[in-house]
Amino acid sequence: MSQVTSEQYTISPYLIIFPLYVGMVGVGILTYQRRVMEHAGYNSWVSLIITGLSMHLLLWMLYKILSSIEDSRDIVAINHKLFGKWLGNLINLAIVLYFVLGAFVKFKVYVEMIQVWLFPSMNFLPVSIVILLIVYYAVSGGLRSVTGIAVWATMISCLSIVPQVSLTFPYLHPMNLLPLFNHSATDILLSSKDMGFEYLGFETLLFIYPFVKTPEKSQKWAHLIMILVTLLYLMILILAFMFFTEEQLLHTIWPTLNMIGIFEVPLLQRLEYMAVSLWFIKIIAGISIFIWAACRGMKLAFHFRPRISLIVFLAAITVSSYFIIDHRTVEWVSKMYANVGLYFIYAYIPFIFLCVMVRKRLASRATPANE
Amino acid sequence: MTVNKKTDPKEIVQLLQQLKQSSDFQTIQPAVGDKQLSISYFKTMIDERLLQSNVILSLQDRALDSDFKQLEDLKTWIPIEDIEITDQVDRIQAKLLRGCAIASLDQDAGRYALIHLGSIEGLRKNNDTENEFSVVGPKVGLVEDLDINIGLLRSQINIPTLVVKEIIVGTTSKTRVAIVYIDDVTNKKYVQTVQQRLERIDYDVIFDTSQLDQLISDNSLTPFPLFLSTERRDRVVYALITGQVAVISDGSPYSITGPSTLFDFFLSPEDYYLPWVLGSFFRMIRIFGVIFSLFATSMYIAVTTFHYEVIPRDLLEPLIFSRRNVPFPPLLEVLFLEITIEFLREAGARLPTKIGQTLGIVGGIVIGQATVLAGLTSNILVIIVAFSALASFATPIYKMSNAIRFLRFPMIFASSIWGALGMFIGIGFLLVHLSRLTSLGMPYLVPIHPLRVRDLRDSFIRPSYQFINKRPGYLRTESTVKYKPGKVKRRNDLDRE
Repeated sequence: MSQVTSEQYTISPYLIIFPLYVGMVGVGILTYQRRVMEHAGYNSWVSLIITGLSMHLLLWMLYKILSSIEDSRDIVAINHKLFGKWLGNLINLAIVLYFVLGAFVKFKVYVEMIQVWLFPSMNFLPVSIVILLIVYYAVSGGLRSVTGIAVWATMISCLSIVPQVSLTFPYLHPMNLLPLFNHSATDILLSSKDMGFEYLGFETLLFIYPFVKTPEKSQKWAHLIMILVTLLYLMILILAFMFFTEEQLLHTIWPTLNMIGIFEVPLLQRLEYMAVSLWFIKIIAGISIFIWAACRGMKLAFHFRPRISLIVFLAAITVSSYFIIDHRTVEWVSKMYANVGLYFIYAYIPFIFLCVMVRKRLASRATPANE
Repeated sequence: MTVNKKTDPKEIVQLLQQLKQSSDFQTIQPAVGDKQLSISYFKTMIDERLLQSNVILSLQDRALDSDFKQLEDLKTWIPIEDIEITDQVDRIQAKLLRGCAIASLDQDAGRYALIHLGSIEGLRKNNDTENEFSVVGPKVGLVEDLDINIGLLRSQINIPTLVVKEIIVGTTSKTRVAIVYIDDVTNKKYVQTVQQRLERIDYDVIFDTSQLDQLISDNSLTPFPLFLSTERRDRVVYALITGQVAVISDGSPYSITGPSTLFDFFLSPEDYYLPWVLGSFFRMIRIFGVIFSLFATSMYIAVTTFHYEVIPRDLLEPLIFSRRNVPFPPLLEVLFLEITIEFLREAGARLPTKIGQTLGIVGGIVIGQATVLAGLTSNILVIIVAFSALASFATPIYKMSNAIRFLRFPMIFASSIWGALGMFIGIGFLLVHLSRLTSLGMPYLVPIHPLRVRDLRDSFIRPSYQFINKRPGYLRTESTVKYKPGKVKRRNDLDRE
């Protein structure tokens, strides 16, 4: 397994922020307010900050894991090193499936959003096929084209945030935020756990890492985007707090979109129609990055041709999204994905981190003995 | 250069036999002293006055007082610089077909002197730009002759490092194609790529550089032009000094420059001749025009077909009022008008200027007015379509504005199926496609993807000359600085002398 990635496929270190951003921020940013405040209420911004900090710790661990072992700079090789061929490949398969599941959840949640907001009675098979064709087109161009669409998605979402914030201003009630602390630490931590779901996606770094030119330099960028994402979540959460009352927010499924729906600009009103459509670019970028990671994993672990696994994954997503229709099942699947994801980042990554550290310590102790 | 086996003769006799079939191939046999010289040429390819005065006359003059012994004597006897003596058949053939006369002595069979007598009559002398106008700035354009074009470029890039590499492309036309670049600026990788691709071309006749553009482009499955083609000298020179490679070919007034980015197509030389504030403003207007012309009509369809809620109430009334009598769905309505505009453009492009103007009035005003009166389209739509057609012509490079007008149609269809979502599906395809495109191996979307913040300076706006003294980083040029920016002159104090 060659670890040297040819120059023409690599991306510059700072470009890492785009795939990480679209990986993390998905449809979740439109709905997370309700889920986060379920336990901690208006204090959940504290939980959000706690989650953000924990993510930095995990990101730091990721970089340690990926840079510690010479000549194995992606998770597949690391699993092989740590757990041997068979067990390692089993874990690799699980990781690949986890990414496919992530792509599926991203896709399905977005399709549901279209159903709710744009076309309630629409046959979704043609749309799904077209969407996944775009994903195919993006992923088959390699990480570079995936990053390309991620750049656009990031720019579009950054541009859409500015009017969102400025247009909400007249409707805000800053006093809503008071009192500052009226929930217990347990509640706040429970909310933090719920918030973790919104950060899932940065673990694609496990596969992107070897594709970064001088990957060590990308760490500061990765941390930067983590800070920015936390700030973004924080800002939108606080905007929602100041916009809705606590009771109202608990019963609002799409707080961000409802906020957008209030605005009126000279030529358009009901901007949420445009926002839902605009979100499309971001969603295909997110799906692409997950599917790319999955295909890469299949290639490294099982020597599958990426094009074939790409087609298989996309076909699987199309078929299953055709059969899974009702909202409860979708919710169940995304809950499951959230749980798996939380275990993945909070249990698996620290575990691997420990293993790698121990291995490194042993190796460094072994080498002087040889001399 | 690939050689056509069937028509390439091996023997000189065979070649002459082939050539004698044409009635413009002539052989004259003037006597020079006691030797019999025979000169053959295409009378359509050479300047016959030159033959009379410089060859035959001077030969006879010299024969009076000295002795003509061998073919080599021609070099000293004839006052023409470009004389070559060879016995290679393919060389003789090539030269003969490029306006040389061949001379041979009877007793020295097989060896020929190639005397260049070529003329470039019949090409236009006027080198004003024909299609890319500007109000401010030079109006010098390239012409159909390669040598004049190279001269034009050299007269503005007055340094010895301007390199012109000539190669022959086209199995039938054997067109001279020149690769032009500045040696200590341009990245050699791009020069090599262009050269390799040009040498690999197997094609019969090269009429225009646009064909080369397609033959050497990275991806032929795209509506976007991957090389910038221009007839303006200032544009080519600007491309050369920023570190791009230019390709010009004989017989074409257009040069192609590459590697180019999407942004290059929306820059106009005029941006740099106007004060930077105005230059930036016009550039932004142009970019806005492109976006508008791409999405305006598909937005109209999306909104009127699916999302009536998006329109504010005050606007809804005039919109419904204007669409009340229209019997078609928005898609047909839009297609009708868009295709009318395309007809007008296509007809106008082929007609002489005066008829074109009349046609514009008939088409634009009469048809537009009549369709609204007849209730075939709503007048709001006429406004939108006319606006977006106008906006698409604001793009300075014709090929790019074609691409943009073409792309409107898929957008229109997508948004007629899935409304705003369809429109963004179209945009999604477009963005993925754009991020996959490369020009000579360089990403087409640079400096947006891969993002290069420093190079973004001269993209959406045209900054003051102080800030654009460096060549774009994405071209990976061998020297980065174009010129040293002058110090900003600022008065320290109010009214201080």
